[in-house]
Amino acid sequence: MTMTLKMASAPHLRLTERSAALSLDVLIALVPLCVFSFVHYGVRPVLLVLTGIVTAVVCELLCCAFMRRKPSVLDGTAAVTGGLVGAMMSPLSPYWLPVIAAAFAILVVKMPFGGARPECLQSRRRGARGGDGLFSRPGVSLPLRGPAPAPSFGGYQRCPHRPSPRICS
Amino acid sequence: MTGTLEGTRTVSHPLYGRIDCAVIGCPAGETEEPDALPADLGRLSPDSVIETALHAGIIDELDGVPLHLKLSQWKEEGCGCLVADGTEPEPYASSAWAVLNLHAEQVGEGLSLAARCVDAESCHVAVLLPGDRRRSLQQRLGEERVYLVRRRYPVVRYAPAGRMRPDKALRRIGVQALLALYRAAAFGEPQTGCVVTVAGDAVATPQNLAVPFGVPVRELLAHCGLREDPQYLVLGDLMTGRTAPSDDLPVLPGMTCLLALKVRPALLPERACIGCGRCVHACHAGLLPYEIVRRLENMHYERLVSLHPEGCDGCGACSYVCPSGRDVAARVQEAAGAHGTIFLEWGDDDDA
Repeated sequence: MTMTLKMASAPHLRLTERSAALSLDVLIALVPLCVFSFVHYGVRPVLLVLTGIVTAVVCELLCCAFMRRKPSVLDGTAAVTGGLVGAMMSPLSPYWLPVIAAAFAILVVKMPFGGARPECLQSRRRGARGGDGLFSRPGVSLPLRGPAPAPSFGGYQRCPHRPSPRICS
Repeated sequence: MTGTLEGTRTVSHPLYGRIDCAVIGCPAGETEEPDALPADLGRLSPDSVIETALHAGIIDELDGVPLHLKLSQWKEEGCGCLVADGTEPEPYASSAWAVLNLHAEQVGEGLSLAARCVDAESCHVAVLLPGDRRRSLQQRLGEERVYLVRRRYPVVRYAPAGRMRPDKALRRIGVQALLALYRAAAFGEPQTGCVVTVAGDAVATPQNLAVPFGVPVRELLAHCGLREDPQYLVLGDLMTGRTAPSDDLPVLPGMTCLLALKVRPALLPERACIGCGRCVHACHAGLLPYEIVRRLENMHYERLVSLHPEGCDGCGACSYVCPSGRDVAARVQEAAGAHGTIFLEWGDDDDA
């Protein structure tokens, strides 16, 4: 009897959970945060998160097409990046801010350095910081500690649910 | 073992590399059972136990190391707790349980002999068995001598917390080696065979077989029957076994499992590491596998030293849990074998 045998390295058993499942876990973990934001600030923070997700996924698709690579959006890392970028925005942020931040995270920080791997670059945080640093205004970046700055809504849409958000007392 | 020497040949074995083998033709149906009364084991001195293991050619199936070397080293260094390792925390292997089921008392005698040889403070059999089998074993060996390990891969605790002293080392011996030690001491038998689990989804009748060393793997597969031709032939268990290029290889000491697989489970394409850290949680040696792989791939060999990749024992748990399907364990092993070497060789070449 002659067999045609293949060679492979151990282990010959793998856990079936994939990267996409981990990304989905992170997105599920964002849901309570979105619900909390919705209760306090209305639908705007949720739309910011969704805007970030859509922007990140579209940017990654475009980038993969430009780089002639197989689309990697199915691993969910782009959606996680966009979701976290949107979740880190102030509820008073304009909609173009998560767009800029997510695009910065994907096009500048993530994809030029090989895709999902360079977590050391922390694309989500860089994206949020990049967008925040470039376009921050009083009332857009709310501090986590200390007295809240006097909100200035001069070019930005007023938060409809609660006009004067009190993040910190 | 009786037979006729029919020639010699060189075999490239996945576990032992290139080895010279003698081809011995054995008459079929011949079994060897001891008919003499066992010798008085209580009179054996530690040195004579080591000498017995040497002359019997006993190899520990856990790591493929000759038993007399391990006993000599442990006798010098001291031993806090000696464990007969009957744990098999992966889905197919059951040869240790087969040995314990048939020869629990003899394994217990072998364990006592080895414990007296290395002057161990305590000894017991560690198993990973369902309740009824464990109770059966406890009735035969005594409740104190059987310890049920936690169901987790890889096994990290082989003894109850009270028996593990930080200043005394815990030592492990395979149950087949202990059985061979008892038979060598009691009946003067050399170790001429082992118990192998033949299993896998391509095998028609999975079973444990007691086979002499040197029997070709194809004979084991023919005995158990094949549903269809396997694609992978694994010498060893699913987590650490190595694939064989042909079925013409001999069974050698250290091989306790033979798997014939139609399809290797979950062989999906690799994706990029997302830095989830699951390999870190899975590593029982406390390493940072993803960081080691990152530095290896970025050729930061000089920075690998501080991550101690040589602490990897190749259990494969990091590759098992990796959600990106990456072969983390193989890369960590590569880092353990070559950290700094390539960097220095490059430097030498440039200088030249």
